[in-house]
Amino acid sequence: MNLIKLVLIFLKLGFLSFGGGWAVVGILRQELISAGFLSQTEFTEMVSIAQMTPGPIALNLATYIGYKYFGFLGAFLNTFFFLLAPVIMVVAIFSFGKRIKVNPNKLSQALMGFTTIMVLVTLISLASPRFGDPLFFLIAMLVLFGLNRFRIHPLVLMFAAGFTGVLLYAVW
Amino acid sequence: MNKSVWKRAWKVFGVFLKVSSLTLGGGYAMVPIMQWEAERLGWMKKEEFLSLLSVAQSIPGPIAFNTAIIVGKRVAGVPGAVLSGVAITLPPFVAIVAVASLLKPFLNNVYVRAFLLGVYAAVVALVFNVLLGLIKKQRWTMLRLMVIGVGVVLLLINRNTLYAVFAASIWLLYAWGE
Repeated sequence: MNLIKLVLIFLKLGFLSFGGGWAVVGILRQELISAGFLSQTEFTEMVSIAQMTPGPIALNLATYIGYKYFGFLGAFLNTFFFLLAPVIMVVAIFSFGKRIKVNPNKLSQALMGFTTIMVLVTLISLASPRFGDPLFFLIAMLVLFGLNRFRIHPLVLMFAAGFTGVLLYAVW
Repeated sequence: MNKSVWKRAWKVFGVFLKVSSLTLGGGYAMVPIMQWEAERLGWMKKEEFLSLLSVAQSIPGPIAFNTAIIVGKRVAGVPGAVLSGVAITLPPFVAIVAVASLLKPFLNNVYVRAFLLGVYAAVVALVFNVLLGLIKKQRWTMLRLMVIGVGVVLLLINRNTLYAVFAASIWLLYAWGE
């Protein structure tokens, strides 16, 4: 484990985080586990905590993972390097954006395709370690129902899911 | 750099710091509030905000952060962009460091672990919903279906194909998207 290696993972994924943070979480999980930074259980815990804390998910994960393994310096560097990509892109657009001719509608449809690939990978990557756990999918289905049928705020559902988890996994 | 630019930049900083501290529910929840503030304070009209938002969506990075630096740049130049970026990042940064330190002694507790596993199930449901939203927003063609299917399979087999999948999917969908 070293800080430079960790920071470089976040720098690299920063450039590919199109369409919201969830797109990079799946690849991030694979990279961090295979680089030996964390175990599957630790990743589960980190994603849950990052999602319950206010702020963009990928940014929260960057800060949290940096903090957990390298303290305040790790948190700062990880956050900084993850955000370098958008800063560079904005500078580039303001410098020579006028000379680049793209069809914004086609570009957004193309980017959405790439984001769909990444979010699907995230979904499979997050759900696959729990495939043998029917209780887990029961909670997930209930949350989906609450989200789409009753329009309950995601944060409320997350806490409800947490307490259901305590009932099903720890008490029962 | 003249004084009024800095004055506007600090104003932007204050507004975005407030938005970022008080909004729960991630980046996407922040954008409508940023728009509301930008219109209310007379920084720009709705149309201009929406066109800046579309730029923010076409570059990588958290959407709230991208929107903030682009709006900050438009309202108060480079100082505005820098301070907006800091304003959006600071509250979650502080929150994460606080939560991480507070939770550390409890992470091995059976009940805390069960709670976090329940939350993780909710996370999977949320990601599924994000995916549904993306599927609904696209114009589906045979090509799109194939590009996405092949891309997912390649990435699951070997994540080192990431750049190739990125370049090929954007190129194919942009060039033959319609």
